[in-house]
Amino acid sequence: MNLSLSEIQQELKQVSNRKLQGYRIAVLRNITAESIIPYLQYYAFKSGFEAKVSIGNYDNILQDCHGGLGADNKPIFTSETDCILIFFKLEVFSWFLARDFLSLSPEKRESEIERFLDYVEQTLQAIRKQCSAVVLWHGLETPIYKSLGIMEDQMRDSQTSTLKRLEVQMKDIFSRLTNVFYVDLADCITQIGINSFYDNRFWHFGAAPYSLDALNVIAKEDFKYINALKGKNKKCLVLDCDNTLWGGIIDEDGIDGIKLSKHGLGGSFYDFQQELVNLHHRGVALALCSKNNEEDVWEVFDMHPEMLLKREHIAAYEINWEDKAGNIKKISESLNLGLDSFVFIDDSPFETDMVREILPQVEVILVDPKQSFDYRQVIGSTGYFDSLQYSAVDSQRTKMYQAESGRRKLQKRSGCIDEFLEKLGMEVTVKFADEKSIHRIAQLTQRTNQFNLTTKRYSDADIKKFVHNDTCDVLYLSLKDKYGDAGIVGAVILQFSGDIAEIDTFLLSCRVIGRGVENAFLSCVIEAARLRKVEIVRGEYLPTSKNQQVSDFYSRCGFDEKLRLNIMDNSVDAPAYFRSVVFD
Amino acid sequence: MDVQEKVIQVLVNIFQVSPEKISTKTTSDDVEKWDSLNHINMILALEQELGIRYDQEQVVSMLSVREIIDETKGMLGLQ
Repeated sequence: MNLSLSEIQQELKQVSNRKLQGYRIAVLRNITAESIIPYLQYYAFKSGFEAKVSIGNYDNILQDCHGGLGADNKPIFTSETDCILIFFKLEVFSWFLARDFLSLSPEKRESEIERFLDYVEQTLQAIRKQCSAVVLWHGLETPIYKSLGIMEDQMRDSQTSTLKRLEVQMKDIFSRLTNVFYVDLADCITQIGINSFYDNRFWHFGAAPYSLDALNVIAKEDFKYINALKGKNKKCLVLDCDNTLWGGIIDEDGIDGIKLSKHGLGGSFYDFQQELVNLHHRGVALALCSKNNEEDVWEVFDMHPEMLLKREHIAAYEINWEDKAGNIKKISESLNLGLDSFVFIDDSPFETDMVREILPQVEVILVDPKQSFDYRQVIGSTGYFDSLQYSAVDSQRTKMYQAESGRRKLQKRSGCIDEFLEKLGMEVTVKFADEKSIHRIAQLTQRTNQFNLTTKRYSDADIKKFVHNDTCDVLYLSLKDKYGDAGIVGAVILQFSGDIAEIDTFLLSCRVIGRGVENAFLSCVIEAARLRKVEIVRGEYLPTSKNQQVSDFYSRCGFDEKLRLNIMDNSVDAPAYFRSVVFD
Repeated sequence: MDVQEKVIQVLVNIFQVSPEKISTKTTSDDVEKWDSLNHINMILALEQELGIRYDQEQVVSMLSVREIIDETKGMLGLQ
């Protein structure tokens, strides 16, 4: 349920007591959009930020992009701004395209489209000249009333198809720029219905088109993007079994008695499981945490004919009678994923309250088996797992998590850590980035939080620029061991100036932390620096709430207090327990 | 909570003032943040809280706490 404005204002009273990281948002608009501020502040707060919002001048978007000043006489955005939201309502810009479409000649129509696209392009170019903030452009709204009614959908050159074409052309402009995204308002309208979306009372004398519910949904949608770009998206979904994955209790109802089927009463659970399988394909780690006899649960997984979720979809599990908070902690350790990237779903208020209390970092969802028809929507509507990257690697991620889980178990058995690592038979390969690896490297900069010295987030286009820049080297590391090929799990960006190589980015996927891979990687980085004939390698550490474990990484490797290493006289050696470390 | 208390609570939240600053005698001129923008927010928040929908006339005319309470009670059939 969406909170009311009063409830949100109550929640926001807590913000000033917490020392949260600031997040600067600028709103450029040709409508009255000020009422969205509390919603932006609320969703920022939920993501651990304190939003600082500045609002551009009414219907002055392009001018505001050329140094416009806000009401407080300060620039509306600067190079420090994190995010720019653009509300560009078609009615205000082109009455013809939005409302008077039928009187347009084909020539006039094309010239209006051109004027529109030109404005979009100029606005974005002006923004990009000044800052690299994320730009969220709120897209075209579906016309409330189609200009030709039902005939509209039968024609090629109707208003509807013209606007669809316009939308595609806008997206083309966005894709040529870095960090510009299209937020589909038609989607937001679908979520709450067109009658709830608009409040026409304030349109004619206030130029405010949207209802509070609409602004809430829009702000929520905006933060799906912001969270994904800030690495705040969730990575693991922990599932209860009885009355969550199926209806009923396996211990009492037996495999033939539980509700799980494509049709009928078990249909809700079947639908829900399909949603879970989809999350698995998107790279979300699914884990089980239930109070059952383990063999009963696996019997359902292996034997129930309508079970869509299979063992292979499960990255980790704790099926026992111990407390769930402790079990979720164990799952987080075994997968090496932070608890703040966890979502837990259960039908028991006791369990959900306990986890909320003991592990406040975990996002908790309580479901009601009497309303099991809502399960699918509950998980589908959250946006918790939304990411702006998708690649074939994602559906393989569970295999890697399972391997990680296996490694951790083996680790517990082997007493001596070096001996354990030697048994893994790790083979490291470090290479210069090429076209094929750019996407994965960008993805790593987006996702990696723990072993990340600078936590700089880059898009594919950014990485591409580095790769083609003569004063930069982009290196990636891939790792194989007895459990399989982990693929590309590390990246470094070096920038050269004079006799210094600056390490702009040094990161390792959390799956491979704690194995000395970083030392092997650094040894190759130094080799790369030597190829460029520089004398000094300089590191950088930018602290965040998550990367404390690497705060002394460079000093441990022999760098001085200014994080410099003279590579004429010093080097870093890869640990002996690696089977091979190859740099080519 | 009666209508008057609810109205005052919403106004306190929207205009970010302490409850003592809002009485039945308060008008839009007395409250610094009661501008046209926050007026819209106030109307919308009252509607959310009370489950009603004011008409076009009411939206522009309710510029004092007294008027808001009277109109709202009328809407709720309390007068």
